[in-house]
Amino acid sequence: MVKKKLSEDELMSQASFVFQGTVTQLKATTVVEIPVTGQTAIVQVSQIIHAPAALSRYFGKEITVLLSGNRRVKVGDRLTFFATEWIFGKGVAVRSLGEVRTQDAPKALASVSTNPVQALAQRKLQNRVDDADLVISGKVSAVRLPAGAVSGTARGPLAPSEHDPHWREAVVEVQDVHKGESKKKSVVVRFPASQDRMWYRAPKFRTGQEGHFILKKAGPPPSPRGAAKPKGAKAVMAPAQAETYTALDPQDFQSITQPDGLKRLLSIPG
Amino acid sequence: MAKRRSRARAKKHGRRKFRARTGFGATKPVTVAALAQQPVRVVNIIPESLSGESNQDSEPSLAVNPANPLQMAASAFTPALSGNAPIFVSVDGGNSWLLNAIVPSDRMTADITVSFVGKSTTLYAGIIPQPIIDNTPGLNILRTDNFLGPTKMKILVDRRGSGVDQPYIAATTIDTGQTSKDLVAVGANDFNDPNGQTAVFDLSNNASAANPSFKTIRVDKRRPPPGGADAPSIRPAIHSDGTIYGAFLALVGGTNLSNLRRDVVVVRDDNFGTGQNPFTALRDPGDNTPGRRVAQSRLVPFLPMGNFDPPPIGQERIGSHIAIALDPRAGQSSVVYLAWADRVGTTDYTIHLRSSRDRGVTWSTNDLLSITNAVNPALAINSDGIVGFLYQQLTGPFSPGIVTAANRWVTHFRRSSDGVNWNDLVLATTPAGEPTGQGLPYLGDYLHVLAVEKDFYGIFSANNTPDMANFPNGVTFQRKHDFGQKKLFDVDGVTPVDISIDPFFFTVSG
Repeated sequence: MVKKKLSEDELMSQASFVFQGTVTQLKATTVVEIPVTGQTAIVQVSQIIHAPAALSRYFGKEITVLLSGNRRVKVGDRLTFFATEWIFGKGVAVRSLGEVRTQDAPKALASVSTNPVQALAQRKLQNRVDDADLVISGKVSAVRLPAGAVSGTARGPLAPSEHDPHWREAVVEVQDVHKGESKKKSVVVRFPASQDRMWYRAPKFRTGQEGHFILKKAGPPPSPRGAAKPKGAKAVMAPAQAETYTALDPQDFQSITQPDGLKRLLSIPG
Repeated sequence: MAKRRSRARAKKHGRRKFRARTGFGATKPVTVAALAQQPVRVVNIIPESLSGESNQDSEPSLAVNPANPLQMAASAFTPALSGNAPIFVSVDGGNSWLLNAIVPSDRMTADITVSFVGKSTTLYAGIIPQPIIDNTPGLNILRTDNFLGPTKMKILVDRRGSGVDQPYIAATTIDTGQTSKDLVAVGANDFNDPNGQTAVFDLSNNASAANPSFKTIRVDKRRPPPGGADAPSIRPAIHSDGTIYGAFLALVGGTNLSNLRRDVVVVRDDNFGTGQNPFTALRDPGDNTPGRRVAQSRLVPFLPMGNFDPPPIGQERIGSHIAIALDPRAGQSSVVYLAWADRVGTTDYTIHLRSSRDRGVTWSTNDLLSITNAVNPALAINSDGIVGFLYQQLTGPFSPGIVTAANRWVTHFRRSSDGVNWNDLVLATTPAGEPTGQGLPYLGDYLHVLAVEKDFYGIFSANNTPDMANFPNGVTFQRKHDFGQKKLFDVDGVTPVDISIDPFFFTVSG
């Protein structure tokens, strides 16, 4: 199967670990358990541009790279690698999606933050904003159950799942619109109140919270069969005309008091 | 000479000898026989390069390759940094572990279990993949022939319906003499049934085929009360003679999640799950319906009910725990052990252990063991017919929803050759109040134990404080730690890292 060669934009958006380094050995590995093949190489890391925390500590160290196979690589080559994680053991091995000669690397890389973890987080945030239907600043004026909803599932009240989202709705008074269009003064943000691992990291809204919201349009509302009202939420009918969105990623809400992040990205003052 | 002694020892202990030459990387001087000299090993499986993590790695699962027990795979709620979800892998009998991101799910799965088969390096998995589409958890059944390679596991089954929960896999090789095929059964709670008979097995008798077909078999033949369904835990157990047992908790009553009443049901198939009416071989004498009710109308609350209620027991939720194991020896598939949890009094959560010696027709009337305030039962029987029983018990003064410094989660592994006399190994005893939970489950809705020949292998999750007093039978860590200071450190060996919940592999030589 012929691998598709990715464009620079695709490499940037798909790679979680972008770094520069020098190839020190071909057909070799620093992780003894993985097979040595024609595509495994040892690379000394000389600069880290984007990285998750666990990979940000490999500056100056040798790691194993599974080369993309899209270019001929020889010992001594100084390359910029666009990679994703593969193996974590005593050492690490990463999968390269593509490599470019360091002098040919995208100019955008030259302007990134000196903190590679922050740089990656900022890029992920940018991706969330790019994918969003609506980005607003606002204040939560009420939290309620979706109309008629109990657990947010179409199942009966005696048929629980460990992964029930327990939907709630936050009514958010819109103060400013940064992306998309909202003709209403308020929008409804549906969020999972569940503490299950599947939903645990999703933002949990409460009345009075003020900040910036990255929102996607919600799918069709759940149509559950009724049961007793859970604690902690008022059962209020949602206004039919309200626009309903979701905010499921931890990055989808940023408190108004928090610096950087969305504020910097959207050039929000304060 | 040494080699001869080693062979003789392996022969004496009835063990095949495997070297850690796996086709993956360097040969290591490790043999199963050598590992068997250490009667109990407990290993924290977080790799050294992830020393900085403080994730809640709960709900572990373990697979050991029967064809080469040096090869292992494990899973937990362990997130990848990006891209595919990871599994843990070992090629030296569990002494060291790597994290390999090959599961086609966004960063982590919602649930996952793993299993090898019998005669190859093929690894199967049942998962709920992320992201969740349309708020409906789906089921994927996965396969890889190279669990250490970089290639994503192949998706064999991808379905959602009305949502599934807790896929739990069992697999073996069917050897007919001329051909061998992989039998894979995944128990799941599949809500795609209007009547709430949600216990299913997704089963293939030829899962090693290029594009195998799986059929979804509903095994609960009794209709629950309106609005009800089976509990999430649906467990298969497979014998090479074609016998497959299944165990689940069927709803029979209750008005809300705090007072659900369930029957403890065992089903059986005698021909690899094939035929017109699979899993109907075992009928209940009371209603002549397929599915033997081992215990009836037990109180099995599903708690916490509300998102603001504290988890009822040691930061953990309850509501669905069941395990089943059969005797793997030739001619012994009639012997089966069953464990489940329910509430005996008003606030407890008690594990019950029972057995049958006639293919599930009759069961021990009383519990072989009753374990109060305990979760996560798991069972396995080895090649000597010895049953191994793993569970986690909360000790100290008990008050629902309250955890004090006096409470500890104690992980026990007990063995018996007759179901009457049991020894007891404490693998871990850790504070139940620390660390503070990061969502549910805290330790997991399940864990796992299995047997390969005489040896037992298992996995559990627990507080990862490097304190030898917490591990009475010893422990080794790969991640940076200091037993003297009882502290964890990042990869630099200097920066302190918060304690968290980690998966611990263990093996107990038969």
